[in-house]
Amino acid sequence: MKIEIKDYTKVIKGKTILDNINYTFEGGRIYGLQGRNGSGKTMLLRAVSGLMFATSGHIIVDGRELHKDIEFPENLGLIIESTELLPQFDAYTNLKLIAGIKKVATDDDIRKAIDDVGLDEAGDKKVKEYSLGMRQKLAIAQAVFEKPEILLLDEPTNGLDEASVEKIRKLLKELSESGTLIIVASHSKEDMEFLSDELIKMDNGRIV
Amino acid sequence: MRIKNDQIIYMAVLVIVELYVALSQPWSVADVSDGFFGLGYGDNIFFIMKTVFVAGIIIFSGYGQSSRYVKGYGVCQLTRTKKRGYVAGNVMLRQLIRAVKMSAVILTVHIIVSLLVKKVKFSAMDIFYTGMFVFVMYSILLWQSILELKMDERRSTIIVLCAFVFMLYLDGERAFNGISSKCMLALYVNMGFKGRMQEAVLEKPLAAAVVIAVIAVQCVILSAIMKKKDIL
Repeated sequence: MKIEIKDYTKVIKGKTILDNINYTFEGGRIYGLQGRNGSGKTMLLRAVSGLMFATSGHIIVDGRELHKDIEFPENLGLIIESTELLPQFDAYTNLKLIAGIKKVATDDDIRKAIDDVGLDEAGDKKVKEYSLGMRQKLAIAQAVFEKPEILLLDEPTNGLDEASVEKIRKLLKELSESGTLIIVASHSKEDMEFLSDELIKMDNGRIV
Repeated sequence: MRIKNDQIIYMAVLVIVELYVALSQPWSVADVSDGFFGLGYGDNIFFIMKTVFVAGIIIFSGYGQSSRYVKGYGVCQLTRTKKRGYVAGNVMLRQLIRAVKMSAVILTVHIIVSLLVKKVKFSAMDIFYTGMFVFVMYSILLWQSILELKMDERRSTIIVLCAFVFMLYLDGERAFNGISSKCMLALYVNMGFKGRMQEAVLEKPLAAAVVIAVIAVQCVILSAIMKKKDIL
């Protein structure tokens, strides 16, 4: 798995959000995007995920150009800002409904993902009763349960306690070792230094 | 069917308004489509306010729903189906369900209140007028979705509600000044109201065709917007 970003620029309402980004990401590694608020970390994740169109430049995923050959990367797990799931259902039902779209994940995959993120204790509690940390764990479970080849995570440890952060770090390491290309955006220096194989600093929409 | 807390408040106000209208009319029976959406021309201000209030309940129930869905659960679906059209279709479907659900609740309140104060009369044409009301409300909710995806939920809701009231007012002026009923086709939200349809003597198949055509165009617009939209 390889993602190449070539001369990527995004301008929104006259403001340059991403400025001539060039980078190559490879599978089996964890890349940490670090920078202050507004540096462009989340926007870069949106660009790679296909949610955003380029003003100029290209993103090539395994030889295929986004928004030309493909609309979205093939096997993608994603958390960006508010990944809201269905509040009237519990964690298992939410993931079961999502699993029905691609039909690649089994019940065991769903239960394993719920256990891996530490949501097994929530039982059949509805998502609307969840705390912020629990919603974040469910968002992570949603991103990983279909064993994606590309995993894009925006501030994945937000709202999590230390024990949960440790669980998530372990999970991401395991996924990386199995070949998943992981890009994590965070302003937590500790998370980035511990987790990342490669640290990418961003400022004003540029990689510095 | 889940009713949110704020909608319970709206329903309570609607019951009060319905009771006032029902008790103040000299009817011995309540014609469902007359009392529910029989808005004609020159009706008393309370009846007009009730109509705007009913439409307002439906419009406010859609506040922010489309943008929240697209940015939230819609992203989960989008990255898996890889089809922006799928998400656009879900936006349209959710608004249709909303229009039907809210109309059903409001109609139920109306029928219950009517039963309490007088007999309720149904006719086969009630089905047509109910359908027209639901389709007009659906169309308004689709405009709300389209504007939400282009701007923000607050502005889209205000624009849609103001446009609705303005169209009601303009058609009243049209009728008062004896301008051709065909102009109502441009002020199509009025076709959701039996009183106006009857007084304008507009052919029912034509009216239905216009509303359905507008909805079809809106679906195309919404799909086109979703195809090129940055999901931020």
